[in-house]
Amino acid sequence: MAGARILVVEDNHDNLRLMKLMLAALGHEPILATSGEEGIEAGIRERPDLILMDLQMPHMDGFETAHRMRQEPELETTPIVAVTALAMAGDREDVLRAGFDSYVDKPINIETFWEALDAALPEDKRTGPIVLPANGTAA
Amino acid sequence: MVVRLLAAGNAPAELDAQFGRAKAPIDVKDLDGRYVFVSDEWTRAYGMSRDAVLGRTDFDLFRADEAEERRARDQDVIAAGKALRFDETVQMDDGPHALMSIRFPLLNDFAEATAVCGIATDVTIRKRAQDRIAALKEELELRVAERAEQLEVANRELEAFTYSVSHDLRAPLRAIDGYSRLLLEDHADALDDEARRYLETVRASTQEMGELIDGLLRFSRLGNEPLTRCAVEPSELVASVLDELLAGLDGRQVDVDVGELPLVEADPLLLRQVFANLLANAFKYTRSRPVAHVAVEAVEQDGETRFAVRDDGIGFDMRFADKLFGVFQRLNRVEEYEGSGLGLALVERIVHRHGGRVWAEAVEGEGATFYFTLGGKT
Repeated sequence: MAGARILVVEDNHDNLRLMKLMLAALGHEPILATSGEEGIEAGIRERPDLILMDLQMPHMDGFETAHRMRQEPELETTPIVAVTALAMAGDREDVLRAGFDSYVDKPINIETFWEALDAALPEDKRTGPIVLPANGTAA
Repeated sequence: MVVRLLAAGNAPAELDAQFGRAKAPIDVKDLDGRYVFVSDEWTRAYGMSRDAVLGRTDFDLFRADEAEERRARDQDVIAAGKALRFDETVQMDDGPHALMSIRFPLLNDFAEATAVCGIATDVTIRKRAQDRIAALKEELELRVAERAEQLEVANRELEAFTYSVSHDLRAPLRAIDGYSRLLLEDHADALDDEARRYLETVRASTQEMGELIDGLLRFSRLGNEPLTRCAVEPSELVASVLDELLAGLDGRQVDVDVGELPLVEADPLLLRQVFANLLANAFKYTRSRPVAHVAVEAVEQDGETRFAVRDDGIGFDMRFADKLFGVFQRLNRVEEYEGSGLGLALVERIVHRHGGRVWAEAVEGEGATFYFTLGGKT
């Protein structure tokens, strides 16, 4: 389990912490940013394997941030996964059309988070299947 | 990093401040199995208050066998030194819930486990929906298969019935026709003009009925006989059909325009029947035109050939388009336009046997176009 370096751009501290914990659980190393501007700066500096982007942020929202990131040569091809409270199917389409590689819905749960990250990460950076021991199911 | 941050003997109050309100059941236990932290969601899921849990072990909170298992899991996680996934069923107020959780060790600076953390997610609704979908799908497949089998049996029975009935009808019909002819030929002197006219009508009617029976026989046989597909030049088939039709024209004019028709893989006799029936229709329903126009065309589309037979005849009301291809379905009165009512049914059958589709477009009073394909080139 090699693990990936993942930049989280999220203004809400509760969500940021939960994602941090989940990333740790999945064997990834989190890099944190609490605004779009900070995120772009951290992205250029740290060259993460993947970026998790909250869509609803003050000042510069996730769409704008992702758009600007795409213009930076360092971040041109980095997978960006939207973290979205928009649950409508049409909105998801908007997200993908806006250049995001994928999305996870809020509230974030560990199962879909894990799936979404592994789907967007290159093979050698994935968490991969986590073995379920034979005695793993409680009565 | 958060793993270390958490592990370095965080005060429960700090853990609570960071993860207490997180929207997921989260717990942290020390190496002795004592709960150091649980989130609000965790207390809701397990129906236990924070005070009842903190400082206690699973053996204080769960049935012995459950506690045993929980302890064993944590030890697996500590031994593995990495995240493991667990599925469990938890009894909540509204019944059993399926929880999927990931448990992972919290490490210190020397990569040693100092605690075990779990993050769970309630997958009950999704699991229930998945189970339901799977069950429904299975049921549906079963019913489709059953239905298909019933249909096939019914179809075979119907074909056998049609065949035997048509076959048996021929003998008495031959007798009626034969004896009528004998009367006309051998006893002409004994008959007056009116009687002769009646007998002519009887013979004409038996002939009509004979054609109908032949059509039915052909139709019923079509289900059983294997197709003999080979490379066919449709333009030759169309030319031979047109020869017959144009020879039978009683003085009216039909301009026929045959476009370029590509080679196809088909049963030549059956494909000829398709063109014969469609063109016969085109000729028939343009009868009221002083100069009628009929066209045969083909276009290549999505890897298959689409044929079209076009006329500028009486057309039909598109509302009845779905009735066109039914057996004995007619959109016109038989007195106006003769025919068995089998022609298009036969066309559809032949086209379907080839794996193709047939449909029609028309404007009432302006003409009709019949399209068909013959399926992929298999």
